[in-house]
Amino acid sequence: MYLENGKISERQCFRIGVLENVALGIVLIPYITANVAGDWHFPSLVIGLIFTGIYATVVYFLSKGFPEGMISYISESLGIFGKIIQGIYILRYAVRGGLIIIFFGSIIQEYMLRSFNMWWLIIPFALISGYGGNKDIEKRGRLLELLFWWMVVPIILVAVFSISNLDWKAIPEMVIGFPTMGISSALGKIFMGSYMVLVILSSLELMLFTLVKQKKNSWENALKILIWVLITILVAHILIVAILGREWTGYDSSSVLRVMEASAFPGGTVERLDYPVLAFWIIGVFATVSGYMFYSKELINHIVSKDDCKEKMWSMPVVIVLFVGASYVWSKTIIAKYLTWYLVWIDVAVSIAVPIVVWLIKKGRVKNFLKGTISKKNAKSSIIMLTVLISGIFLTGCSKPKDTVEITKDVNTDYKALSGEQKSLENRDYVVKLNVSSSDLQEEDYSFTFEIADLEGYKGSSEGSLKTKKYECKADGLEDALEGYYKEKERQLDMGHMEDLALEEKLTKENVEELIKEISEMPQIPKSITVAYKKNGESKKISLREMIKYMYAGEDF
Amino acid sequence: MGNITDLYDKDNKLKVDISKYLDINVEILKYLFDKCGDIVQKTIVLEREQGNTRIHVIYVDGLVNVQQIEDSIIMPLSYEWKNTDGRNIWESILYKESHSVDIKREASFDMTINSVLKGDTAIFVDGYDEALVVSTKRFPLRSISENDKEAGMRGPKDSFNEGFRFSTALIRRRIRDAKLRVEQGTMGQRTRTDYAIIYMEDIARPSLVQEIKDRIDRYDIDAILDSGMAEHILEDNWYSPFPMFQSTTRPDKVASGILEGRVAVVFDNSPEVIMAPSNFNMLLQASDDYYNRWAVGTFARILRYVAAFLAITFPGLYVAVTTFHSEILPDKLLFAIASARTMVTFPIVVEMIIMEFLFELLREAGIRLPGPLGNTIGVVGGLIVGQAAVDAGIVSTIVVIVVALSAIASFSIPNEEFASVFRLLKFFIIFTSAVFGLYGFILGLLLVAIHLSELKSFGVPYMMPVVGGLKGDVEERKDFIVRSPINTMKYRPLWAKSGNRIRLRKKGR
Repeated sequence: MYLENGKISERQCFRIGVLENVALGIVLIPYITANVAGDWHFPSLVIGLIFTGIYATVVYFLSKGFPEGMISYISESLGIFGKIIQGIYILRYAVRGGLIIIFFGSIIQEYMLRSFNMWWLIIPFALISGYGGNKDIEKRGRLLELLFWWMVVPIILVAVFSISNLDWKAIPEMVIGFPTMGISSALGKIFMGSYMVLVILSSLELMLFTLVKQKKNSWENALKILIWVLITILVAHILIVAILGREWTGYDSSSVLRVMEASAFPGGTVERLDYPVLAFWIIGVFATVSGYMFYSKELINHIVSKDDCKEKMWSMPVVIVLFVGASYVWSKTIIAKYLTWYLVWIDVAVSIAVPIVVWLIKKGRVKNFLKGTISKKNAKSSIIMLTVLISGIFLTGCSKPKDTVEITKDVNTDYKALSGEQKSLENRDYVVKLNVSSSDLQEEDYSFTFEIADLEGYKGSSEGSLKTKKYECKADGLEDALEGYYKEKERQLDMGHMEDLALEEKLTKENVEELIKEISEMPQIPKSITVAYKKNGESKKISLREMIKYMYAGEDF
Repeated sequence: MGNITDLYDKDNKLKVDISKYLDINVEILKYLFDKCGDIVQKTIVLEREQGNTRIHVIYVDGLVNVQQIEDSIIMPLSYEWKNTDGRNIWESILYKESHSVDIKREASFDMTINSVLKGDTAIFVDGYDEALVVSTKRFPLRSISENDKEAGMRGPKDSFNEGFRFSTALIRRRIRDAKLRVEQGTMGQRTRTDYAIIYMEDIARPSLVQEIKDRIDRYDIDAILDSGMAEHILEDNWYSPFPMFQSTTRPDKVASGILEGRVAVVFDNSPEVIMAPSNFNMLLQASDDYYNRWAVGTFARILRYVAAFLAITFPGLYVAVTTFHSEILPDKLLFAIASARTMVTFPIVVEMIIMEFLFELLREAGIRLPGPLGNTIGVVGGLIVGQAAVDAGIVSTIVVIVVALSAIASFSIPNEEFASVFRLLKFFIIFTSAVFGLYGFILGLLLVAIHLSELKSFGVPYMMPVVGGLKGDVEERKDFIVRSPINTMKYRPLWAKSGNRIRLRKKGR
């Protein structure tokens, strides 16, 4: 009924394009631009998106140059040289995929499953991505077409629900109010931030292979993909920075999740949205990783096939092993440093340079140039392509490892579980309020008083207000206090339902900042809770999210 | 004669031909039906002007209308016919003496026996190497009863029964168009089950019809006892839990499907008619969606989609959230759950599996027991056992609510076969959620989505119209979650024959 001709519809191509490219960008770009370009994060982002647009345009024109598909052309026409190129591409994708997998694993571990060894999280994901990538292009098209709204609708919903936390005044300040003083000295930072945007969005390279699989390779569809990706990133960036502030965004590599920690469904049916968002983000990362795996598998199939390319049973298992192996390599700090340098400064250039060279070979320009028989028109387009190629190499190839932005710095690369055993619901004590004061003892900094829900005979809200019991302890920090409680009572103190945090006036500014920083890094504590404190004898109340925001911004609160 | 199997070829067809000599035919028949108490056969001598002739009549007691045999065969033939108008005895019986319209000549012994076993009466005439087969079928059947499996508030209430001809008649009664094709055949070497491929000549794609015929011819099987068995043979994705055919007992649903370009296959002895192609969306549709106002129909569909989602995910989601991510629950709800669990001995996942297993057990018992007893089991199970389990600290009250809600959700899926898949996958999602929390929950759903996206039913993507539709083709989505008003659904679905997709237009255009 439907022709099985190895082609996908325009809608499928569009959805593949969007899903493969937004998941990482949404999480990483606000953090990296804010981190690298500082107050100039927005111009840096815009320039980065322009770079990305130029990159995507080159990818589109290159895809037009290989109507039969670049992989097919390379394997059919370039002999051993083609096989070398294909091998390089497989390794490149393994490096990229490995980094994404390990970054993904560390976020899932930190936010969702702290008591799990990271291998337990990475391997099932790699297997499922392999299973998803081990389909032909038609099935892949249908899969991502199906998954598209699974990811997009939740993102739209949480964006809507987090609008109440938005600092509207921050938007014009961010867009047009960035400081002009000192901008000339910040050009390097701005460029670096922009370039990092391009690096993160260079997964658009996969469109080189996908666009030609469309029934009709139209520029409208390619443009639509690009616009969707760029606008999604832009909107996400504005939302995140306007809610968290530039400093907090630049400090925390998973800032988008911090935004969701402070958001809830209306009516309180879901207290916080970071878990649902993270759950659906998995789909986006799956799309990207399975995309790299899909093309790696295709490349392997082409390398080992003599005439017509046939599916090999073993090619996907090999790809999965390669990708998981690459994740392991990324976990080795010394190698990761060089891999990061390669990924940032070499890989993007390779992603453009190789197709351009292959295209020139295909057009016979190289041969004609050497013979001196190249026409004026062809010479012109060849020069344009070569200019792109050389600028790419100049832009990217002149750096040293020390210049590299360490996008992997927050990745937990030891694969171990982060904290102790998780107790079942009835074996936890739920903290509803926490009072912190300074400790009288020399050894410990803080005195914590936990107000814990007393659930004995609890019948719900109709039975009057919740009874509480108190637990006091002295500790160096909150994590220490929680551990102490666990050791003493063999029960877990659950901080996920705390509503109030009270800070005593005697606490020093350093103590408060240290404590708030610790709390800001504890995903289980909702960032929407109220913090009560006294300043100059006056009682004040502020949301934890705002307090963290002010703290990172260095503002007084 | 040697062993009886010597008379048959490898396809279980009789190798012998009808002989001109009646004695040989009678001997074969007696040999074939030795020790068959339900076979009635008798040799009768007919007295005629041109001389006496022997005939042998055979039928299966219980499958025939004996009165009809007496009135239209035995009585007329027993009369001493004088004027034969120059016909021989064979032609005289065929055209004049027998009082039956549905009488035909049959040259094959195998086909003749086949007809007898279906309830026809065969007459062998001495001196002729053919038999006469008279349609005399009347076997015990349920009457056409109200549809209790796919009940609806509005619309026809009749349903198919086990009678093959009744089923085809119920479809023909609804589509009075000469272009309705009913191509018949038999399937099953031993059961010789009749089937009919029913489609509209001008709407169904010929390639689809041919594909179904090819698949029917693809296997030799002993028995087809229900359309369900045939369905498994005809589909490609045998490993998938999702049905590739839509099965229904509603004649109006089949008629509607045929008019959309789908092909129905009716099997004898089966009240379920199967239709292809089929997809996820169709299996969540009910007939009365089209009979009610569009807004009501749409609301019902939204309910069903939500129900389908809940049926597969709710228990798993509960396990994931309460075990790993209790932070997302509202405080009071969490405290209520934690408080209720203080008396429960087992971990959440174990109590969930115990309760789900108990529910499935009750459902199975309810099906196997006769009607009133089945209802009693439901009440006993739901109220008494559930309450006792809570009191004994085996499960908590919240888990009973979660299981009950997911059960109710699964029952609102109109197609029972489809609903069973959701109940099955629910256990898979519970497992992945119990291991990895929300992460496992999403990975589990992702696996289901990957599987669904690769499925096709006779070339049509299973997840249409969510996937595989044409860009900008809003027509495809007019019969999706939103059931558009009938006057806007102008085109048949994509799988209908191209060039003949218009199903509604104003007169004169």
